[in-house]
Amino acid sequence: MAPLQPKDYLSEQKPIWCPGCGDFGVLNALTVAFAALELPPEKLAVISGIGCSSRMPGYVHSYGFHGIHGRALPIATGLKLARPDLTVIVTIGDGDAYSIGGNHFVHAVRRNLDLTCLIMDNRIYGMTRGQVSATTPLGDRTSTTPYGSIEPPLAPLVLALAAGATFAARGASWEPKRLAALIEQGIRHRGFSVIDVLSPCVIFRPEDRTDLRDHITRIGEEHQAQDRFEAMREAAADDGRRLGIFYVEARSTYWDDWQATTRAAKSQMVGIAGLDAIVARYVRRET
Amino acid sequence: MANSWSDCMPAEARRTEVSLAIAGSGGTGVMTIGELLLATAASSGLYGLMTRSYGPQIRGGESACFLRLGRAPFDKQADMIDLLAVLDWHNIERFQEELMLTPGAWALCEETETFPRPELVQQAALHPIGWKVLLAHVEGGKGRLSALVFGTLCHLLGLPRTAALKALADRFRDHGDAAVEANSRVFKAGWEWAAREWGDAPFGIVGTGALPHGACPPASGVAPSPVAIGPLPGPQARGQTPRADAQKGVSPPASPLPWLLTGNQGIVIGSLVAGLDFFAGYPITPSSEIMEELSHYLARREGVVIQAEDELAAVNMAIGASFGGKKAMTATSGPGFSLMAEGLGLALMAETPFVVVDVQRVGPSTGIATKTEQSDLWAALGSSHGDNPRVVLAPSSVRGCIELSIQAFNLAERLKLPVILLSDQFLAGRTETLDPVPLDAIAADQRRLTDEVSASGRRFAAWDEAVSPMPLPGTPGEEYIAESTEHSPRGWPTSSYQVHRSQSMRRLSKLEPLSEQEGWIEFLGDPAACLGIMAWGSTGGVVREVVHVLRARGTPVKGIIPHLLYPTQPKVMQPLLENLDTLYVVELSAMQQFRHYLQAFYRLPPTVISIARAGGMPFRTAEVLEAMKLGSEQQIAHSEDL
Repeated sequence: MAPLQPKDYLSEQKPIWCPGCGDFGVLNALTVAFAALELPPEKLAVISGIGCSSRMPGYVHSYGFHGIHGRALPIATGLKLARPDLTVIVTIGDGDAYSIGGNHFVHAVRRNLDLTCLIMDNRIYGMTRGQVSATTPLGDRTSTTPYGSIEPPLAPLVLALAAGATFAARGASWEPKRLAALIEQGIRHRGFSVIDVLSPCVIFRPEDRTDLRDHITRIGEEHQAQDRFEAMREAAADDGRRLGIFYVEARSTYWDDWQATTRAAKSQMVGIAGLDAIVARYVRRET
Repeated sequence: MANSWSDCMPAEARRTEVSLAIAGSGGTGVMTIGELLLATAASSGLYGLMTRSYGPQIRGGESACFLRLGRAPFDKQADMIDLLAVLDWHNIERFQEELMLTPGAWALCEETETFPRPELVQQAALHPIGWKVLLAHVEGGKGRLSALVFGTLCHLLGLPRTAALKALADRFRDHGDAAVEANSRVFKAGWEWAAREWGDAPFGIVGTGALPHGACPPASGVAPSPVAIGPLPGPQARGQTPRADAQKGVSPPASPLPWLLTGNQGIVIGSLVAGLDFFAGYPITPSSEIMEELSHYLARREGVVIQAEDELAAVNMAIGASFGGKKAMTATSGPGFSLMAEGLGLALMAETPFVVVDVQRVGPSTGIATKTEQSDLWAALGSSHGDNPRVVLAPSSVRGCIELSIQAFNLAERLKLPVILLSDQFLAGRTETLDPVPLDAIAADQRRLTDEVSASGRRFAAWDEAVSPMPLPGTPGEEYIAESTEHSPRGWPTSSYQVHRSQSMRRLSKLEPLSEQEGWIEFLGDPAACLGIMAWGSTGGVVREVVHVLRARGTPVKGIIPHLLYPTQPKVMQPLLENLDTLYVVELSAMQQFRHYLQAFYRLPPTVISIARAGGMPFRTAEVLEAMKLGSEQQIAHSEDL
């Protein structure tokens, strides 16, 4: 059988995204990464929340879950624990990850399950027509901040590192080749990969198409991505427009540790006979 | 000292049950003594039920336990206390509301302790004992007050000494031989002191040590409540099964070793029998025990337990695991259940099975974490926005906790939707003796996968019985997206009102076979009675006793306890209500949630009288009888010969 091409990872659903939306580039990059990794579609699960970017699972030929706002990471956590054999990709927006699902983001990062989390960050609530988001730059006018936003934007990669991320990076939707390579690295990384993707909204932040592109900077070759302090320094200096891999750490995953700590307990109890052992403990026939 | 309606003869001659309470500061061994007594009684042919009472702070502070021991199974606490052991008087007045003593009850206490005698023991015969002196005279006795009091109580109750010593040894085995020996010495000191002081077992129960469990019919007729539930779909035997017959059908063989379980532990066992693979939860009283127990056992079966960051995460983790093909569960209490509402809606829309246990406690908001109530009924029926067909099950005994947990998984997997198991603190926190439950009596269903039939492009289409197969991720050619957005039969998002209409009707229709299935409504008493009494959940226990009392005095009465609250069952329920003139509805909900629910979904008799109050304390039998204006407990006790 011929190897799968990127187009083989596209479903028959037609994206609802506006022409020029950054999310097209992310879909493109995803399919390129999947093909490069030769992932069988049936072993792939794409999990999302709610928002423009969370429409992603419908457009990918794979298993998927279009969940509810903010809860994609818990759904993915449950799925990955149930089925460690699957490659689980989380595709969410800045609202999902950094606002309504902020708590889940922190704890999913901390657990370090082998998940790849793409945050399509358009710095606005697009689907609900242009309200301020957790990453909207200070002072920007939005439909709910007509006099300018007074909340300092969140620094997602500082948050990720503080929570103990083992892979923290940023890409951009307008350079799908680089983004595909980044996603490929994220999927290959054993552990939780945070990939913040600048994905401009053409309707509610049309200026981002040029403003972002003209102001991006790149992490240099000399950056020691394995050095936690160096990574922290890079993240602290980040203005939200710095691209590249901030941090990579090889660490055992939640699943590795779960298996290691419960190994001794396994196979102690199978079937109804095993249940009798529980009952015996309850009725204090045995200790 | 007569405890209740069941005992109108001199106690020594006729006592078939006894109730006692033990109270003291946290850490004095109150619960240890109660558990030891229960274990001893259980291995001596007696049935028992123990409830625990803590202050609102859950840990530390004062505590009390209440035991009811007797020759028949119980599924409610005793109305009044015959025997009280006070380990210390600190804060005992906090139990004033729960400690109702029978006239002439005994109260044991430490003789050297000076205390203002609280009002609640004014009616009692006070028996100060030199516990401290006794302990000082036993080698290794220091700090072993609980073994001493246990010894004293065992003699008073006429419990077999060998069984008591075995219970003590089992309890302290992990502490080493020296601890077991020291406790045994202390126990004997307590026992022998009581024997010298009071002679032969003044609180002894007839037949203790002589009757193996299940070998004789329950003396009071208050049997555990098996729910005879057949497979779904498919018709069951016509007509409602009277309790006695239902009992015969599922009763396990007689065994001298009964089980001692809390409702929470019953849910643990039931869920493991059902094949639980995955549990996610967030700590909350009174449901945490379920997660704690499962964290031991699931790991042994290649399952997973994860403590989530909050209930929003817990419910969605369960949904994710279920999507991955595992049997999943979460357990919580009111405040957590409120957070899980959105996850329930997701699972209903995406047709992803899982079980959520709500161990109800006093609400609203934080309420009282350690006390029972039945005020989450509407939340269980209606939480989450939109038209949401779900299944709500409500056990009314510890045995029911086991059986309905298995059924909860079976229904969830079969119908591909979340099933809510509504327990409550009274069920969850009490320890009950029950005859062994045959764990293989209810078969665990497996999810219908796509091995035989493809669901490709039809995951959310109408299938036979409106139940679709659910592809397992990893199966080639069956890829689909579980959708929270309204979707076509294929699973594609849509805003078409016609698709919404047809999909809504299809989701609702999944419940139709269940709404007509018999076996979910417990019926007891006289089929032709004009007087009916109905309750759900743990309040079923008081209904069983009330029915027993009224029938024994010649009043025909019919008791109805539904164990399936949604879907409603008009075709099954209506015949049970037909010849009733008056229906009493008993519930721990000040808003009368159950009564309103019944009136919304059923055609009720001309007179419906609500016996409803806020929770915090389960109903007493006398309280319900008084409310029914049919006489108090005492009056009945004198008119009875049981």
